[in-house]
Amino acid sequence: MKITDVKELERISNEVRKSIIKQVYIAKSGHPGGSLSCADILTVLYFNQMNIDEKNPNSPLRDRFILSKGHCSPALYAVLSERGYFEKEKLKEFRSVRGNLQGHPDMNKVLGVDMTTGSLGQGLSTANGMALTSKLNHDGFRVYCLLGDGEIEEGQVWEAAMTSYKYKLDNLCVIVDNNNLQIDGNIENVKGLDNIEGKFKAFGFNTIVIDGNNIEQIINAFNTAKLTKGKPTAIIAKTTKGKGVSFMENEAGWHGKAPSEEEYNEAIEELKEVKK
Amino acid sequence: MLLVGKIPYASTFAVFAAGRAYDQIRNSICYPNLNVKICATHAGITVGEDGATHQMLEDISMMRTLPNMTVIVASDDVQTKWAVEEISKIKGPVYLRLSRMATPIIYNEAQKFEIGKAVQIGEGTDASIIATGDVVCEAIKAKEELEKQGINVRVIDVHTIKPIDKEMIVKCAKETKKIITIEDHSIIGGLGSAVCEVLAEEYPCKVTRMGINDQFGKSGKAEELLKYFKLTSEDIIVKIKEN
Repeated sequence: MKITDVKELERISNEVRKSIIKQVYIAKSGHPGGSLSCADILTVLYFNQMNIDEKNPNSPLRDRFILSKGHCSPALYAVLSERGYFEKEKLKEFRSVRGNLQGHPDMNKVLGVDMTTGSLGQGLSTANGMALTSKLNHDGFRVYCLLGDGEIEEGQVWEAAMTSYKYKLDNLCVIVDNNNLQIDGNIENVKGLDNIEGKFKAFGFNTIVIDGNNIEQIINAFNTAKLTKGKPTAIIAKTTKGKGVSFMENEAGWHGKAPSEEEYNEAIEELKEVKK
Repeated sequence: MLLVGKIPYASTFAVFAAGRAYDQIRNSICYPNLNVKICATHAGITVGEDGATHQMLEDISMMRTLPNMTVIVASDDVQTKWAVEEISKIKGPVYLRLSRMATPIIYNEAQKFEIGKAVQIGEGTDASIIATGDVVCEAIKAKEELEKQGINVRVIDVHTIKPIDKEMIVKCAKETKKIITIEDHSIIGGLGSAVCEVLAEEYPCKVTRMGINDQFGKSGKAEELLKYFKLTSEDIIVKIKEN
């Protein structure tokens, strides 16, 4: 299944947003802000870009996705359930002792999750291993790794970036969800983090800067990444934290907080139709 | 890599392999139960001149507490060769602990080992010296010296710390008068602790633990450090005679 119609992809990503809000509301905990900011990226990956088949979920030649910012699991669970990896009914068990949808994704508990994540900074290292093996075995699959912008303050990310470059992992595509906010506030205030594109460029990556909440731009960026040979690509996706729910947008306070009943109803009302 | 068909063998100094990478081992290897082999070298005080920053004395403790992890400590060249190959057959994470110091070869090439089964050397009943890693040879030296003095001990080479060979440990406690453990590692959390855990539950008795006594290491030649930290065959003999 490869959906190329932008309007249809926008409709799906709106469903993903509703699902995120619902999961966090029912669980009474979770991370809505960063999940909403990456909803469009995950929608494009799972419905337009990745070579995957929910009916053959363990195919060794499938493309892989690593949600390095594992706390944004509601976005991953939403796209996986939309794609048919598991029943949407299961989403009610997010973060619950009754179910398998852990606070952070567990590859052994949820079909479709390619790597267990949760301790920030480690996903790119795992992605390197997968991409390198794909090359060594001439398997031809691609590896996608989504990092948070706050997450790239972790030193391991840059150790891994040197490895991506060293092995010329052009089948690896890093996406930075650049929503400018982390739990403690603005990324520039917390750690002086700016010029993310320049940093990845300096580490030898092909870089592409896009509006990460614009479906067409996301598709184009992934297509360009596929055509880039001899080095890995980093897509710096400028996004809005909390995107789609006005009172959550650009508010660090919504990094890891569940909405009240009133807020939940307001959010779902806002997401009733696809916004333009 | 293993997620896509290869078995990664990662190797560096134990102080970095187990210490610096603890979070990665915990969250990205053991929790997902991935088939990664960590071959940590330069463990223990026998690293020598580099000193405390490079002498890993807590790795057995940290690694054996992790669910899904198998912990192996090799005592000589023959056992090391066996272990490096054998651990590829275990489906799951393995921590293989190796040391820097050149040690005598204990086993002949025909020796059979099995993961989780300790090796018993000798039948003595005066004491059991339960040892692991690069000090197994010190235990054997002590055994040979004691024999000349009419004291008959056995040495148990516990190459697999986890899963530990409970059966062997309980058997030794039943058959011998004393239990002494020795390891080039902190006495907290390592082989000595593992033996105490088994015996406290299965066959309560006194256990004397020899190892690094809640301290950091220091610079010196490996042989000098073994003397300094009282881990030589002479020290074992003193312990066996004193209690």
